[in-house]
Amino acid sequence: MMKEILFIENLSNEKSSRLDEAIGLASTKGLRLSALFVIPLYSDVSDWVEVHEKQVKEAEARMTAYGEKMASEMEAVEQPFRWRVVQGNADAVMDAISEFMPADIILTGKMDLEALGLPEIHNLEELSSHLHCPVLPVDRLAVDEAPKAKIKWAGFCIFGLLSAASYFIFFPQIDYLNHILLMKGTVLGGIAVMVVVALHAFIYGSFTEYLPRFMGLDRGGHGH
Amino acid sequence: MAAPVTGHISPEQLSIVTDMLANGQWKYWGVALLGFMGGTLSGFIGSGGAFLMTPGMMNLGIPGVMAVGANITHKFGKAMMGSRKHGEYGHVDKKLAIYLLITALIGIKLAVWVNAYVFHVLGEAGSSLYVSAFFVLTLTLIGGSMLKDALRSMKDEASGPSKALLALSSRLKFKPMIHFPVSGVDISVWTLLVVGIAIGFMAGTIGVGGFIGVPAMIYIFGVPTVVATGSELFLAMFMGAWGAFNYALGGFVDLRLTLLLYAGSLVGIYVGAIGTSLVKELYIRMVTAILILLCCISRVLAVPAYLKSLDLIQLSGPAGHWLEIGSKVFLFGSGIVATFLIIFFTFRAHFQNRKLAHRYHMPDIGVESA
Repeated sequence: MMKEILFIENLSNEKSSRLDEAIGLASTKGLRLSALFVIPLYSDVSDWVEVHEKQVKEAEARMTAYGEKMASEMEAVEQPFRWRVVQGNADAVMDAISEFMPADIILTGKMDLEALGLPEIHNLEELSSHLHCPVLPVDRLAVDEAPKAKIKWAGFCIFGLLSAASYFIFFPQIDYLNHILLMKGTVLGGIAVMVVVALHAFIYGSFTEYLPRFMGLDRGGHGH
Repeated sequence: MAAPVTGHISPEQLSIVTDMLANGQWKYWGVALLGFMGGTLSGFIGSGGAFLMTPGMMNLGIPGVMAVGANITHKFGKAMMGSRKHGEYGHVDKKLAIYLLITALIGIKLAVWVNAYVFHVLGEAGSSLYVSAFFVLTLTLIGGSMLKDALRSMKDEASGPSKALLALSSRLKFKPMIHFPVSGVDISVWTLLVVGIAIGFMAGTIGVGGFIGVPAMIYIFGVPTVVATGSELFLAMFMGAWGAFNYALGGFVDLRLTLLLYAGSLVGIYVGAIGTSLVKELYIRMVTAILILLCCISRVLAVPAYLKSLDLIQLSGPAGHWLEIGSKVFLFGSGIVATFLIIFFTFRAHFQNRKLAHRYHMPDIGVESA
């Protein structure tokens, strides 16, 4: 039976934190939750260093205040909660993670693995191998609310119909349009090409965007 | 001889794609398949795809200049969708991006002019030969460098970007120098001019964009990787739009090719992008490097046919036939295998993750998404 979740997030602003979801999971299952906030650091800068240092200090202060706020909320409902803020250089991050280990599973919120600078770790699979612990993005566990699912089908159908129109009605006319406008070498023809391309890319791209979601592929897991 | 710019459209240009598609239904699927493979690779490695799609269209009988025109037009729409999906650009050095954009637009215009000139003077074979030569040169350098880098990583040797170009660039402090605060670098305006035009010329000649722009920013200007990557997305849309407009002015954009490319690419790109988070990074680099070199070989095998068409060499019928088959096999074969591997690794990792989520009995919790 699982007892401990470690939640790791790499961000500089609490507004985009996914900690609430990890708390919801831990509360429902009665699990102990630990949270590690990693402030992004970018080491390959030169004159940008002073600006970046200031940004890091501000982010650290914000995330510390956030951690304290969440800790008191968790204490109020008698939920065990540990947390820590750390700057994202590789050694500090690994030391901090080891403090919270062993965990049964690591959940991640917003993660920029490149910014963490962990050697040879570029995605969550590699992080999982390195830590010998399963790593999943927290939104991998999310379920769609019914109203949102309805909207998805409607959008899918609308863009699907428009895409079909583009390929089965517009496409056969292109040869004729080439002769009268699109390949005449005029400025108007050039503009028409760009407009058609932009429109088609939007319509068809909006349609194909749904495909990974329906296959369950686009459920987070983007480690960078 | 009329200048091969606006308004000078030869009648043969209008019938090239019609004749190609009339030669069999499979050609439609061939272009869509190229789009799918290119899109998957583009999503997987973050840039590229053009090194497969442009030569692939040439293998199907499209002259080089029209293959580049179709690809660069396709790139415009794809970059537009990419920027919409990503929303914020992240770490973009807008000042540097604007300077590079202005110079790159000049390079693209020049490239379109040269490409069109070669087509009108030397015909389809000459155009394809010109584009192929650029591909062979570029793909050999990039593919070789990536493979060397990936092999060193496999042996756990320290690897990193070469500092030679950066060292050279830092010595070229010809005034006026411009300071770019977000990237934290100072660059000579003359260096910017030369590099920007070169990036634009390469992009306009063979339709490759970020593959050249991002390394140029990192290795020549010393821009941080995260800024280079963010800035490239900003550049890609405008460079693609300008390239598309200029190739269309020359009558080299047949939208049928572009739409067929989209049919596959806008499906593959999502699979490839998801794959980057589920597959080990070393596999990504190895697959990319090997594929680039195989595409390069494919182009080399296609060159003798162009030389024969220009009466520069003698080539027997059977030899030409086998070279053509070899070229197609190397390109389509390597593209299909690479795409299959990407899809296989992506879905395998996806199902492993799904098993993991089920094992911990989490899906029934009903955690709301943000």
